[in-house]
Amino acid sequence: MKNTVSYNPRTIFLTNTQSSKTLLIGVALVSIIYFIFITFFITPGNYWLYGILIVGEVFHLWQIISYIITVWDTKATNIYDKKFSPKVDVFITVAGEPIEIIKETAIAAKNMIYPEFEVYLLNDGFVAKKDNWKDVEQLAKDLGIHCITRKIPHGAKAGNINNALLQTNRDYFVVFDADHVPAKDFLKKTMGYFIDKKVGFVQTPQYYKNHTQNLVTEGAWRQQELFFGAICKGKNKTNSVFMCGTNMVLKREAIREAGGMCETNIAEDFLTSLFVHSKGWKSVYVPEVLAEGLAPEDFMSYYKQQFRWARGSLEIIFKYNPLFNRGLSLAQKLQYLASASYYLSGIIFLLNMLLPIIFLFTGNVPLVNSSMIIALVFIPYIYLVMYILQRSSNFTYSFKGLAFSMSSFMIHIQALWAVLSGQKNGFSITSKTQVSGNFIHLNWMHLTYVAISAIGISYYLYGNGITASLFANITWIILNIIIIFPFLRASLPALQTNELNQSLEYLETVPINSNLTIDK
Amino acid sequence: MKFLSKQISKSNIWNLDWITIIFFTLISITISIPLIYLNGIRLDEAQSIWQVSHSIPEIFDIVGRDVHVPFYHIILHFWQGIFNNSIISARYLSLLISIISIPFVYILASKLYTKRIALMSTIIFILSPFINWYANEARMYSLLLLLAVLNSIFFIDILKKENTKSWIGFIITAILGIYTHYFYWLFLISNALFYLVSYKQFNKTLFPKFIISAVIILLAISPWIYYVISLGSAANTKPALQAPTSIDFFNIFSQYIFGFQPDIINSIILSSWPIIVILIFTSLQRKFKYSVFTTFVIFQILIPIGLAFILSYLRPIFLSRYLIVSSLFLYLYIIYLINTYFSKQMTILYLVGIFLIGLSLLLQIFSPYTPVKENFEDIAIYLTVKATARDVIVLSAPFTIYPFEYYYQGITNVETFPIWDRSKVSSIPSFDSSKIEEQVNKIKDGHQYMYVILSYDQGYEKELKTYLDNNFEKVEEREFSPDLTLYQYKLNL
Repeated sequence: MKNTVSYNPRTIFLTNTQSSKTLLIGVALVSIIYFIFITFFITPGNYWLYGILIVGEVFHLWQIISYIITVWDTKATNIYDKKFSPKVDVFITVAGEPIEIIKETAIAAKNMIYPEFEVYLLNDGFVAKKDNWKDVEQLAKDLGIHCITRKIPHGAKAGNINNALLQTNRDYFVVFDADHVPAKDFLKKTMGYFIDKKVGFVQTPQYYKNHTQNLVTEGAWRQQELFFGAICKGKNKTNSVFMCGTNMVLKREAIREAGGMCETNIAEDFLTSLFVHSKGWKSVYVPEVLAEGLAPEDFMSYYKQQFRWARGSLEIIFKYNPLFNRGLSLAQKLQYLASASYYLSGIIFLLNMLLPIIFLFTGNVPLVNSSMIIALVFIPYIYLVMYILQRSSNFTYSFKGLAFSMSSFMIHIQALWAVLSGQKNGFSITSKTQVSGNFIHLNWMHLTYVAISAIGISYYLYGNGITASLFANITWIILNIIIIFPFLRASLPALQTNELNQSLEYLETVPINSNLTIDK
Repeated sequence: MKFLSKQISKSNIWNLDWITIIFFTLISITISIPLIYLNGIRLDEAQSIWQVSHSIPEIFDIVGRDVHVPFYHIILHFWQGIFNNSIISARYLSLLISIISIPFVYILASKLYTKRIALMSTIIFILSPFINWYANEARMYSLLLLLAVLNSIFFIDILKKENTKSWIGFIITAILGIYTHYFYWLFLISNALFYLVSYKQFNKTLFPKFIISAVIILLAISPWIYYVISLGSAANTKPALQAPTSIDFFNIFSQYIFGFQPDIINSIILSSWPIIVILIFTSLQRKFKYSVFTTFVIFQILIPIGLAFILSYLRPIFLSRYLIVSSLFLYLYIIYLINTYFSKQMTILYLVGIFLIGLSLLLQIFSPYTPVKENFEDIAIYLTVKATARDVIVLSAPFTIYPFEYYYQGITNVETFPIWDRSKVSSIPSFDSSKIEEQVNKIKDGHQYMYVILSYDQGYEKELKTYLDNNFEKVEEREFSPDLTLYQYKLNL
């Protein structure tokens, strides 16, 4: 009774991502029909709740349509010349990561097969007050590579790269995070795209080799797969891929024109990409795993990483709105806005979650028509939307990815608040080693939801007894709890090992045909 | 040795599947046989028995006017000739056909998916309250389902690896199917649409062959179409249906899974529709690989139901039993979906599903509130004893006279409202509000008590009852089953 499949986790999410255009149009039409029906043909109940619902539906329609536009064409047509091999600097950004991890990356970088390149450890350990900053310098000596240690802090990771750019001079440079181990052919498979003189940077997938380690790494990777699969391939088609901070090659001239790596934003890579694009430079996405990295291994690290991404992205909407950037094409504006606005989904999900609870306590509903009429339009709509997500991700997108995305609503809300209130948040490196502990407190809102739901059901039962409406709302609450459950479970260390063994059993049969052969 | 043990192990699993299927079939038969005897005759069954009691040409005439096709009636005619003209023997025919379907359901499911999915869905099929209901009813629905299953097997065979036998089987089952029920067309249309949207995935030479088989099927049904047109008029002996609502749409799915349940349970089931959303979300599993035959299964669920729903706004035809074929494909799809889950979750879900379906089956059998139960037997026995030659029995709607007459052994005069002289006209006269008084007076003349049996409201039941309540003294009111009530009025002699 064991369900197992064999696939290569490094390629499955990158292949067969092209959906039928008829299907995409069909999903878009169904989504629009659903939206029109809910907005104009259903009698509103409580106007506040109706308003909340419609705001949510507008947002969802935007997400669906922008997703369909993104994955409309995922076939690459970039110019590539394998003979084009200019000199390159390879930067490995370091800020106190364990020396073994840095060493593995540095050796792999040194072992890359390419005519001429220099490897640099961009050592921020000193400014980050990490104990091992001297060890990093020693490691560079031992390996015969360069080390640039900053003594004056500014601009976090972006500042570190900018500092290195001042001390190097090659036309192209590569950025690897300390935990992202490149393949031997990384440069061979990326540099050829710069034959097109307008290409400003080349991005490759950020693959998490530890994605089977625990529930957090698995959840994090499930989210990444969709992004680095169909989404990035689609963005590539419209020249809208953005930098993801690691596993990327950049043209010095493009970065210089953009004003260097952006130091004012917590997600420096995202904003720098926007500036590079707005200067007319092109971007390329190479849909091949050419480096292996580490996902955040514990819930706290995951939480911090997601917060950083959410805050940085939301800041783009509120401070650097791409719609008003004249240098960007319409497609680029849409793509930047789509990616940044993803982080608004948290507040929408939370509001939708609250609707059944509000009913239990007040009896108020957003819509007063027969719920079967709503079901008649909602079920095909949601089915098709989920199907298109699966289809475009080559059936890698799973409930766990969806659950992690939706359950991150508190992170998104906190990030939104931080942006709106102008809070200052420092750049924090995602931990490369597992931090033990119970992180359930980070999910206090999720637990509160479960508790209030239970109280609400009891309250309703006391006042009204068993009704059909009670069952409908209980079912919605169950759906919400099922969605947040994997997230809650991942924050409980005691459950991690046992549960993972079961949930990942099918992955154990996967043959790992890595194209990464790293000499040590 | 290893190879041998592997073979034996495979063979054992195969045998184990069949043993399991036989075990559940025996359970199903054990449940069904008493029901054949215990359940009273229902309206449709009474019509079947009455129709097949005629000669073959007469059957053609009656069935043609009744907006049906004659294949089942011919089989039942000969079956009744061999055994006897009772509802019991007619129900045994349906049960037999339903039991024959079981192995073919397994074969079809294993051709579409895997042996595990086949076993799981066959068990659901066997325990399904909906399927069980029609396995015990003297109507054509179990035959309709069997022919659809056989046709699907041949269809899948043709698509996978065509051979002459499959083509012959496909065409024969298609022709027999369209001579069993008009709604078989919806099934064939769904097949055709599936082929058209996914033809690129199959051998290109199939297309002209499908066109030829379509022509053969159309030619085969054309004599019957010509005959029905030549009859000139429909009999109008059926309940009038209302245009369906969204509730009816979901009711079909509820009935497919949970059978016929009392209103309170049914409304709870329907209100819990977000469970479908839960299933959609949680079935997003990375091992989930979409097969082209899943499109076939989805088409067989949604296209017949969707078309019937839309067409019902032109002429109401939306009844779950007409669309019984879709129920099987719904089971297949649900089982396929839960098979995309991890083993542990799948097993739990499946066992919960089996428990709920089994519970629904028991409720459907034993609950007196099951909405489709029609207790004409008890009402007829009651009146056989109670009503005298000085009284009159009135049935409304008029077509309910068939099941009543089947059981009624008394001496009281039996009339219908509106008055319907079956010896003169085959169609039921339409209701005329201005003629209530005239018709009631005609019926009541010379009688002491009037026993009015109301069921199958055709839109005038309330008006009739108000008239009777206002003009006569109501002596007794008694409900024999949901929507089947007896009213006794004292007439002024």
